[in-house]
Amino acid sequence: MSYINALRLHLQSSRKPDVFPSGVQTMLAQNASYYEKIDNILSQLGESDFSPKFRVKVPHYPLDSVEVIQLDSIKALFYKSKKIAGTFLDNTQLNILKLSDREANFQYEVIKVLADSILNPTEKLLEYRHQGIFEFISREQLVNKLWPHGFPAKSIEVQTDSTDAKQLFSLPNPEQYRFEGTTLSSIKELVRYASVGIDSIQKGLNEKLANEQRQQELIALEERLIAQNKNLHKSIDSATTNASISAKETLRYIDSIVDKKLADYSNMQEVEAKVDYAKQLVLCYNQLQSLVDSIGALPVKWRTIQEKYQDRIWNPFMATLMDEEVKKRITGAYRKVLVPYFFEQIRKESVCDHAGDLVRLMQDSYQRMLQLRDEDTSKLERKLRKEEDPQVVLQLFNLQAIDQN
Amino acid sequence: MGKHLPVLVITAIVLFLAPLFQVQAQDIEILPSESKFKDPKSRIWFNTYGNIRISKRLFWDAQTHFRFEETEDTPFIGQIGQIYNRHAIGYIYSKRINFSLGGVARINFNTDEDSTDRNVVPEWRIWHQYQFAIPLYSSMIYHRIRIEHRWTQGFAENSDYIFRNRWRYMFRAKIPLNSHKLETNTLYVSPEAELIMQSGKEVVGSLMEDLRLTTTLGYIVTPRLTLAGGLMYSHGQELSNPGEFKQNWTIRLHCYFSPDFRKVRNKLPDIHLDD
Repeated sequence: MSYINALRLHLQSSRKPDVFPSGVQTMLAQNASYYEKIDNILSQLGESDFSPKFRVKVPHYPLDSVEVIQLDSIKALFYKSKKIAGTFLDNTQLNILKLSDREANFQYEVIKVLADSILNPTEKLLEYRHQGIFEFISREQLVNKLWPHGFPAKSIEVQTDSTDAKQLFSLPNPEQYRFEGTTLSSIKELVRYASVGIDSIQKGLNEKLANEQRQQELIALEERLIAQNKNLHKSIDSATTNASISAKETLRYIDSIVDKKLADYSNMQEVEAKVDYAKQLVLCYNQLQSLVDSIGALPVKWRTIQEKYQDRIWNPFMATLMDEEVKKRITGAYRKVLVPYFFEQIRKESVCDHAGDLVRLMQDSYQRMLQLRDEDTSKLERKLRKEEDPQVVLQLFNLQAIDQN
Repeated sequence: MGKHLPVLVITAIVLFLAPLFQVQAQDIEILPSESKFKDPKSRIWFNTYGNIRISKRLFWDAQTHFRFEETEDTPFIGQIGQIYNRHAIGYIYSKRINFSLGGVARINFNTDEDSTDRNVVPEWRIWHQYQFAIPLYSSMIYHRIRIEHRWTQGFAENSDYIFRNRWRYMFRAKIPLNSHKLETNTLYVSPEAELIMQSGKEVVGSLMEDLRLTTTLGYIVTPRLTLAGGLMYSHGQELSNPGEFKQNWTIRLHCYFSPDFRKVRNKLPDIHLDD
């Protein structure tokens, strides 16, 4: 069917009256399809070449080797630029940003103009080449067909807002792009111009978008920080209800650093540093949250331990079974040495750095307490006598102490 | 008819007892026409009760009591009356039922300030006991039957041992005051009544040796230690004359302890008996 395309291209570009109405085209296409059907049947019987074999006579402008190279570089430049232009034009962030940012809007519009006036016609050109009808039209006819108003100017005027003021875009050293004329070479220059233009915009725009992204990220981070901050205060409040005096003090301490850290953040100026700090603070708040949760769980855990460290014994005088507290040295070491040690560690300077370890240690200690109830601990109990050093107790409990550094 | 009933009963009792008095008449004092209650004596007892577990089923019951009584000048604690050592091996049948069998070595001090007799004489007993506990709401009630075979002698020089049996029944309740059950840190009140009957050749009319009515307030410090104190009123027939009743007001202070020195591995898994 390419002969129809070639013919149409040729007829249209020579600006002759439409002597090839679409009805004829349709009829020829229909005819060709019937031929094709019969050819399908015939080809099953043997080799066949059943087609209308219509021919048209059009001028032929073969490509020389230089032109082939030029076409290849047009193709390469086109695809590269088309891809970049596409990412920007479809970028949702940029589409929103251009509404508020004049500069971004200008850059967006320039890319759009470059895409419309250079890249899109070039795409058609490459399509002709692909269809194999490129050589049936003269270069001049081609340029006139694809760029009916001539090539665009080297400086691009863009209207960036509703006022009539226009902004000009031009590349440095515009004279190096020689796209006067109607040869493939000029088309190549034109595409190169678009490519360099898009590249130059890309740099600025990328930075702007990255900055914008940072701002957006910061906003998201801040929202998250504020939500975390609120949650923390809420958790601290509810944990305080049943807490012991020292647990209350520790919770109050956490309460104070929660706000202090947010205040430190809000006093920061530099965006880059702010983002980093905010990211760290999100992690820190997460850690503090689990720390507060762990402190809040201590009373329940202590009750569980107390229940677990009971033995039902028979009292001969009452003739009843009574719960007796057993292994008091172990429960004592937990309550009087380890738990205060946890609180003390929390109140250290860099609580965020070791909060994760502390939460783990608190959990491990609790689990170990549950295990020790059922183990033979007579030796351990002897060693725990009057032991007040948490490090020693942790060691005796086979628990990994947190790093002191 | 109604007002003649007491007279009839008394007549019947007198007729029933008459042969006894005929036989024993020359040995004992004549029964007074009305029973005579002596002035009450005041006493204080310091009692320790040890219950030492020796195996799953057995325990060593070790009780030592120091009993003081008044002198003319000092009420309650004026002089030592008895030092009392009661030991037994107990068998735990179930958590509500246990039995004991053992001996008592008691030292009796002569508390008659005018006496010129010996100051100290020993007393020996073999005893066995059957105790049943029943839970009732938050309280416990206990029935205790204790039977003692007792050899005593008077303070007079070369006096012979006399043998008597004692038949004791005690009813006791323990009612927690600040808890829904008897457990650690519970304050409880314990009313109790014990009737001690006796029999033996020497016992002619004085069947009721003692009737003890006590109220005790106790505190369970731990499952292994309980402290209690109470006041007891008791009265009973004098052996020498069934018509005479002695009376006592006694302050009783108790310390109950029940250590278990068995190794944990021996206690497990049968520590819980049958619950």
